[in-house]
Amino acid sequence: MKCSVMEMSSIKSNAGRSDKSMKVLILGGFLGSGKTTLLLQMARYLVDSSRSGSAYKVVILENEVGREGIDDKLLRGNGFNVENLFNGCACCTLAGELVSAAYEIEKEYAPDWLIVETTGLAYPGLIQDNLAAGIGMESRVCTVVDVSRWKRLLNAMRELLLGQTERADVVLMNKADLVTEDILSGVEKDIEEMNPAAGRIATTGVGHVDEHVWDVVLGVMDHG
Amino acid sequence: MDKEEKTLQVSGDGQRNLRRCGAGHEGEGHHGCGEEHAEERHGCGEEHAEERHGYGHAHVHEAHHTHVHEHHDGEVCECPSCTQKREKLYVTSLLQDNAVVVSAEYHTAADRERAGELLARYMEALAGEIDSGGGIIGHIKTSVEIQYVEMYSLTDKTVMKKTSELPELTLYMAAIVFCVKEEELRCLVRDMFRDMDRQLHER
Repeated sequence: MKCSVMEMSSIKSNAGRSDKSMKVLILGGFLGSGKTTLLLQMARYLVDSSRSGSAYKVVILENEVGREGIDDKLLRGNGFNVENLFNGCACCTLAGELVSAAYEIEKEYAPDWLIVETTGLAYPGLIQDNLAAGIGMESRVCTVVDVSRWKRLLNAMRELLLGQTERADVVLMNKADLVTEDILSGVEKDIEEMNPAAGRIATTGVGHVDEHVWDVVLGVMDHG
Repeated sequence: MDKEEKTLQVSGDGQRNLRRCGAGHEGEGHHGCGEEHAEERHGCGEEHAEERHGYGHAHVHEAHHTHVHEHHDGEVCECPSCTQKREKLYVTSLLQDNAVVVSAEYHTAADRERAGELLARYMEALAGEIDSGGGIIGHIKTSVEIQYVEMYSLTDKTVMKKTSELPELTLYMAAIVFCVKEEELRCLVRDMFRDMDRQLHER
């Protein structure tokens, strides 16, 4: 099902949202960093660990730049409820559509969690700002970085990687199995300089990610 | 958002004498697609005050994250068993910031294993061509939808079942690449699917 697009003026402020309101996680990070692979594990964890009576535990809002969705087909094929935002970026060209979609998802499905998987070109902080300003929806940001390509990408597009990292609550340093300890330490140091407050956790999306990691990502537990 | 679309119907015969893209015709404004393009460069943090394309338009880049436009090529499906009544190969491209985004939809009836093997090989070759040209791959992803048809028919009392020999495959590709010309990447992707199609159906 495609997202319906509402006029922004018809969205009322949702500042009085209750504690039981849908929680929102924005999953950002550059192209190929492993967002979708990690998302599959995280969504399964959320479904399996939920004790709520909600009919919908998780809804995934998938934003892809291309004309056709690719990741949404995989996610849907794994049994998840997926909404699409195609052919644009939710932090800029589709900012209004994103806010409308989040509003509609909460109203229609009332899930425990909405996970917004951004395009690899998006700035998660802008999406966070738009959700807060548009409908008073608070959110967490988790940014995934590919440690195996970090240095090369940093040389070519530092501003984008900085913009994706600086507002994250948690940074998952993914594909850690592909690099040495020294390289991993170097990436962690770069990320710490960009965002000292963010939790930093090394992950390998191809293997099983410990449940503790998801608790930190979701803000249920502090990164110790 | 600055957006433009253009449709091109490209005949198979007309393509035989054309050069493949990325073959070193820098600045010639010709990419083997029957289109005329003025010079276009993208990627890696370059600032463009103005950019001109051979479609007779010019547009001004705004600051971060607002420049999107789109072009597409299409070819009518000719596979004998096609039930889709749509274009066999449909390729579009757009610019999103410094990234060139090429989307392709290719439809055929073929052995799924053979198609999967060829796809993997061609995607790796595509990555090699991009890499050797100095491009930085964001990602190249392809999903494959597979459709088998079973028909149950009855003329008297007994139902007959018939099954399609080959499945219909629809491949959706998204290639997001930096430091590459939009036209060049679009042609590389289009040529990739054309070559793959030839290999899939050669006897």
